[in-house]
Amino acid sequence: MGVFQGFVHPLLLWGIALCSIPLLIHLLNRRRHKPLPWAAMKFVLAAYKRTRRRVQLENLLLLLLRMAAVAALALAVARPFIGRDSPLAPLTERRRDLVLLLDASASTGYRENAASVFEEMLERARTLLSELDGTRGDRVHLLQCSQATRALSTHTPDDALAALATLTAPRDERLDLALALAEVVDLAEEDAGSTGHSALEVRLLTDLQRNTFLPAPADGAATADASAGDPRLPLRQALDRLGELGVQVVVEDLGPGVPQPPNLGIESVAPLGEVLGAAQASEIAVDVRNFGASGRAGLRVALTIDGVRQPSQKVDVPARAGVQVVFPVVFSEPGFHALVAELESDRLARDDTRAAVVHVPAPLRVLLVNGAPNDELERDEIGFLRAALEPPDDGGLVSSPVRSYSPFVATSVAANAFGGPEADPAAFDVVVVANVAALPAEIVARLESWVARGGALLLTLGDRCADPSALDSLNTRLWRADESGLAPARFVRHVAVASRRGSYFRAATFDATHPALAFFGDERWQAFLTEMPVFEFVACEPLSSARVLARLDDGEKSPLLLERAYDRGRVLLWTSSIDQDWNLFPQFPATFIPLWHELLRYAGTGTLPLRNTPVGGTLELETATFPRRAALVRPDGTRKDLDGEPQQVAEGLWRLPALGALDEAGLWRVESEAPQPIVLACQLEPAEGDLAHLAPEELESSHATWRFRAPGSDEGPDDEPQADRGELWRWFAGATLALLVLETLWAAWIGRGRRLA
Amino acid sequence: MEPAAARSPSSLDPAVLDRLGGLALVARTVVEGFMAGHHRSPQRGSSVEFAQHRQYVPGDELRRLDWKIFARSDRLVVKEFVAETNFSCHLLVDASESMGFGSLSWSKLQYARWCAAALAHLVIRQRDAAGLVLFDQSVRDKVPPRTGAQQEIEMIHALEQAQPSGATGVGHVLSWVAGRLRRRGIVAVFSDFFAEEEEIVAGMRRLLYGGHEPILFQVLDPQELEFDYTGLLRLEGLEGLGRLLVDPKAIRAAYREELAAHQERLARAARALSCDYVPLVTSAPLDVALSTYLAHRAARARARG
Repeated sequence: MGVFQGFVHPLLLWGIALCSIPLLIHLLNRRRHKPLPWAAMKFVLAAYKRTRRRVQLENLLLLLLRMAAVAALALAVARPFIGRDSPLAPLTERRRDLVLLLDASASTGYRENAASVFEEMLERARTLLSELDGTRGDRVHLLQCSQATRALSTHTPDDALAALATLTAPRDERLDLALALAEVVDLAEEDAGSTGHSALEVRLLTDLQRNTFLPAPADGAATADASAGDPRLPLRQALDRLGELGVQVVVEDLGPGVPQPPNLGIESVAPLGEVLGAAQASEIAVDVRNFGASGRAGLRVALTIDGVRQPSQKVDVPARAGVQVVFPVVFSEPGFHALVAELESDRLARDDTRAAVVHVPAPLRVLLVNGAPNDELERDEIGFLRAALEPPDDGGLVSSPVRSYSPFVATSVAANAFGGPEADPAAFDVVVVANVAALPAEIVARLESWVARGGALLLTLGDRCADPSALDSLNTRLWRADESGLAPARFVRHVAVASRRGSYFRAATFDATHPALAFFGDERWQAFLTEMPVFEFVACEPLSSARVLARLDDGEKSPLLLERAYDRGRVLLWTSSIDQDWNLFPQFPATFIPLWHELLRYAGTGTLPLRNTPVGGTLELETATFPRRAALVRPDGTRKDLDGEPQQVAEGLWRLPALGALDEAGLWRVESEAPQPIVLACQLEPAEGDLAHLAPEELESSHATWRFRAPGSDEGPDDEPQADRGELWRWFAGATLALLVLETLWAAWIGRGRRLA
Repeated sequence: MEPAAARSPSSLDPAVLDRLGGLALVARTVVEGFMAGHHRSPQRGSSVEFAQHRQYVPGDELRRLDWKIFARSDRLVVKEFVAETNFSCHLLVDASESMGFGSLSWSKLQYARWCAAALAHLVIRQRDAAGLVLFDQSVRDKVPPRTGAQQEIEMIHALEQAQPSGATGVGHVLSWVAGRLRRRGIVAVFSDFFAEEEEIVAGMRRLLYGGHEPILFQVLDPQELEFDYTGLLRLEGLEGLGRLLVDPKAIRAAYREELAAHQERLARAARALSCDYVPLVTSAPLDVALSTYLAHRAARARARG
C-alpha cells in the first residue's frame, strides 16, 4: 500500500477481504428469488426496462457503501501509519510512546548535594512524565533497572507518576544494563510489528557509571571483540537490535559532575587465613578501596563482631588503591559469627558498611574404634593416630599458644565396645573403624543411618581383615551389589610384597585436587605421600560411584584411598593399615600427621552451610531443631513470616521454607522458637562503589544506539520528542461510522421510495 | 341507493361461488342473487312496448305477471315486451394461458366462467338467445346462439371444459367473430386483454361495423393490479414470455403505470368507439358484469323501440 508507510497490525489487514461479504450476500440473494408464474409479463418487462438502470445504481451504491464500511473498519484496526514527510501527515495523530528507564543501582545513592542522584532522577522523571498527555493516547513504560528490571507502570503517564511516588531509595544492586535493554528490545519489537521500525522513545536516567556502560571483558578475552561468554556480549546484542529497530536510547546523566567522584568503600571482610577454632587467635581482614582521585589519610575503620565493637584502626588509603586492615580477634565460641566492618560515612554510604558471617569450627569429635588394641602405642592399631590427633603433654617443653587447643577431640574404644553408650556414633563427627573385621549387623545399621544423616566414616584395614573369611565378613556387612552398602568398594583379596627387603608399593598417583590431599599437591610435599612404602594392602573393586583418591603402583593400580558419598555423609576407605604393620606412614610424622589431619577434617567438616550471599541471592537453610514460626528479619528490622512449611530432610534435620531473594545489604536473621537465630550476610557488589564516570563522547562512540543528553539542556527542533510516524486509524474509524450511517440512510430512502410506490 | 344490509353478498361473492362447484349452480345463484330485488332491471320506468302475453314459467319475474288476467281467469301469464324478444348475447371467453393466473383460490378464467355462465343463465331466462365462443389465439370452441334451457346446458358444459392454454389472440378473434356472427347483439368479451391494443380496437371496429355492441370485460387478478409482492421474485412469464428476476418493490410503481396506461388506452379506444370497457377484478362480486349487461340490453331495447 503506497500511501501508507506500514501497519501496526498488518495481519489484521486481511480483514479487508471481508468487504466481499456484502457482495457474496448480494450474489447469494439471487438464488433466493421465489418463482412465480406471471401473466402480465409484458407490463413487468416494460417496467423493468424503465427502472433497471435506476434500481441497479441504487443497489450498487448500497453495496459499495457496505463494502467501503467493512474496508474502512479493516484499515482502522490494522492501524496504518505514515511518515512525517507524507502529504497526509497533518491528518495523523502523533502520540508518544515513552520507555523511561530509571537506574536504581546502589551507586545512585551518591549524594553530591542535598539530594542524591536517585532523588534527582526521580524529579527528572516526574518532569518528563508531566510532558506527556494521557488523553492524547501517550503511553509510558516505566522500568526500574538494577540487577533485575521491574516494570512499574505500562500505561498512562498518570499511572507512571503514581508508581514513581512509591520509590524512595535505590536498591542495593548493580545495574544490569543488558537485561534492562533486553526488556526495551522486547517492547520495541512489539511496537514495530512487521514494519521493522519502532517509534518508541527510550530514555535512560542514570549516573553514567563507567563499569555499567563499559563492563570489563571476561578474563582473558580480547578487548575488542565480545565473544560468547563475554559479559559485554548481551549488552552489545541488545544495542545492535535496538539499532536495527531504529530506536535510539537517550541517556541523561544525573550523576556526579566529576569524572572520578570521591568514594571509599569496603570491598571485603573475611578471615585472613584459616580460622582454627574458638579461643584461637585469628585475623579478620577488611579490604578498603579508595575509588576516588584523591588519597585519604587517617580513615577510621571499625569492626564489630557479634555486635561487640573491636578497637578501630586508622589507615591511609591512596587514590585509586586499596589497603587491607587486619584485626586480630579471638572467637570465644565455635559457630557462626556476624562481622560488620564500617568506614566513616561518605557521599555514598551504602558501601561504607559490609557484613559477613564467618564460621568458627568446633573441635572435631572423632571416635576411634580399635580393632587391635595394644598397650604399646607403636603396636596399638590406633596408637599413632591417637597421638596425631591429641598430642600428649610434653611437660611444657614447648611454649605455644596453641598447646591448649586441638582441633580434634578423640575418643577410643575397642571394637567390642563400639555402639555402646560411650561410643554412640551419633555423638561424633567422624568414626574411624580401624582393622575391624567383624561388625555386628546392628552396628552397621546404626552406622548407615548415622552416615546418611551427615556423619563421616573412615575404614582402615589390617591383619584382622586379611584372610578371606574376614574379607567376606566385611563384604557381607559393608558391601552390596546395588551400592547401598557403606563400603566404597568390594573387598577382594589381601596383597603383600614377597619380601619387604626387596620391594614395596607406593602411592604412585593421587588426586591433588581433593581437599584432603591438596596439601600434598604442593611439589615440596608431594614426595611425602608418593614415596611412602606400602607393603600390604587389600585389593578391592571400587563402586561405580566411588572416587579413587590415590592408587598404588602395583600392576593393577590398586586403590589405596577411596571415597564415596553416602546420602548426606561420606565414607573413606584406606586399603592398608593405619598402624605400621602394613606400611611405614606412621614412621614419618611429616606425612602421617598432615595426611590424617586433612582426611579427618575433610571427612568431619562436610559442606559448610552458606551464610553469605550477594544482594539478590538466596540461601537454603537447614536446622537441627524444628523451626517453629520462622520469620525473616531484614537489616532494617522489618520482620516477615516465612511462607510454607519446613521439610524434614533427614532425621533431626529440617530445611526452612524458601527465603526469597535477599535484596538489601547487611545482616539478616531468621528467627524461630530456636534459642539462637540464624544470621545471614547480604553483601553489596564492591564494584558499585567505583563511581568513575563515563564521558558523553565515550558513550556515543561506544555504540551508535546511544545518544547523550544533558538533563534540562535546550533541545533543538530535531530533538523534539516526536513520533516518527503518525497513525490514521481514527480517521478510518470515523469513516466506518460515516459509511454505516450513509448506508443506513440510503437503505431507508430506497425502502421508503419503494414502499410508497 | 340500496341499503348495504339488504345486499346478499353470498350469492355474488367469488369466495362463496368458488365453493359452489358446478357452473350451473353458480349461474343460478348469481342471477337469483342479483335479481332478488337489489338489482333492478334498467328497464324499470323504461318505455318498452308491450308485445304479448305468454304462459308463466317458473323463474319468470313475479312482477311481470299480469294479475288482471289471473284475477279474471285464474291463469298465470307474463307480459312480454318487444325488447325482450329476438335479443342475442354473444359471450366470448378468453381461455388463453394468461387467464389461468390467479393469486386467489380461483383464476381469472374461473371468474370469467362464472360471469359468462351467469350471463348466459340470465339471457336465456329472459328468453333471449345466447352463444359462446372460447378462444385463445384463435377460436377454440363455440356454441352458436340459441334460446332455451338446453342451450344453457351446452354453454355451461363448454365453459366447464375450457382449460387455460395457448397464447392470447383476442384482437384476431374479435375480427374473426365479427365476420361470422349472423345475429346482431351484444358481444361480451371476457379477457385480460394482454395483447396489442391496436388489434383489439380493430376487432371492436369490425364488430361495430357488423352491428354488434361489444362490451370489453377486462378480467384481472388483484395482484396483477397491485403487484403487491414482498421479497424477490423470479417471474415465469406465461404464454412463453420468458422469465425475469425482480425486486417487486423496485418496479412496482413503474409496473402500475404501465398497466394503468394500457387500461387507459383500452378505455379511450372503447370510448372513442362508444363501447363499454369494464375492468373486473377477480376479488370483487359479480354484480358489475350483470348490471352492465342489463343496462346495455335496456338501451338496445329503447333504441329499437
